Amino acid sequence: MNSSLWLQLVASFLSCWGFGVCLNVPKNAFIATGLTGMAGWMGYLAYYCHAGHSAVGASLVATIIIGIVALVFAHRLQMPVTIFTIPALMPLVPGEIALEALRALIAGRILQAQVLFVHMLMIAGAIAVGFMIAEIFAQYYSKVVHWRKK
Amino acid sequence: MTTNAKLLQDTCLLAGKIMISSGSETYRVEDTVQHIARSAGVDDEIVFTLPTGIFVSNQHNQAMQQRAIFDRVTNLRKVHEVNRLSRQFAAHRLTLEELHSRLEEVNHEVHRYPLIFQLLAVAVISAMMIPICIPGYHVSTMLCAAVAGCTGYVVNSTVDRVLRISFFSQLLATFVIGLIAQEALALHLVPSAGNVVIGAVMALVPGVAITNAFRDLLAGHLLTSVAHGLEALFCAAALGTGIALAFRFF
Repeated sequence: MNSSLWLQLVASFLSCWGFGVCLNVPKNAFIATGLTGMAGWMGYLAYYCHAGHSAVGASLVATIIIGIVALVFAHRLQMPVTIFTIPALMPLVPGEIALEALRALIAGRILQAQVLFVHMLMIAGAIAVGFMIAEIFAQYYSKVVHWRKK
Repeated sequence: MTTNAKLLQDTCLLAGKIMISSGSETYRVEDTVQHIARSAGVDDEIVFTLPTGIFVSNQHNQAMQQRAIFDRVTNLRKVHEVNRLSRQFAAHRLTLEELHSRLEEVNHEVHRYPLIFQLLAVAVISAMMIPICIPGYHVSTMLCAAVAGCTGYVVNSTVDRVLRISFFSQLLATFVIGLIAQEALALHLVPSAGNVVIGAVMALVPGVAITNAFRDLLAGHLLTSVAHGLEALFCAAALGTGIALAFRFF
């Protein structure tokens, strides 16, 4: 494990904790929120570095991981999944790309704005699809939990 | 309509209203409201939610009731509280009257973490987003982003409280962020002003709104998704305009 990976781990944990504070997450969910975001970001980096430099595919993988980890935490802590997914998603969401696109548009660089805009839509779509897939897992998860309780 | 049925309607509306105005997903709102109704013995509760209002009715009483929703901020604690109370009600640990009065408390509660704690969080976000968004890291860029991010956050919340127009407060906030980034570049503290801006605006960007718009679209909540998507686009436009102004003229 090299030092930049440690930095990425710490950075993703802390930034998700920060978003948790800004979005008023309950105090006892802070660590779980940070861990969810960290897991998602590690998935993103692993895909991005080893399976082709595609932000769209990496976002999809990261979102599936976030959805599943958040589900486990939500079940353990008896809280809605949203509490973990929204802050954990923050490093992935294309808000920064949307901003860049609008900046390019205002500066008159129309072509660059179009490219960025389509990129933003694709990442947002990948995140949405990732959650759909995580929800399919969620249905199986609740079935397995019910089955084990019987 | 009996008083009990009326109280149930009120409770359902209140729960839905709190959840929508705190940034919950649409399906979760409908789920929770129907859960409360079912726990009270009404199986055919009909819920219709929009980002700006909620409508509830059922087959037994002919009157449909509605509530308008004016302010929408993401406050996950309230979502959690409503979820917890509805679970307790379903487990018969709360009566309907208790549930209603507890929900009223949650509705009026303005618990936020202290401002200094929020600012610390914004500083951490702004600094930590630099290594995440940009390959490699640069300590002085991270520090400048933290300062700019905190200033932008304070400007945004102050102007929003005074003017109540989020477009303008976001524009001003990113304008100030852009100025600070330019100033840092002029003082040779950072190699590039753009990187400082990327870190500093992270606490303001509408990424979740864009993503939620797509999720709602896939889940079939068409009206909500279009409304949220447009709101996110306007938010991004405000942020982009602020930065473009700062970079253009200074």
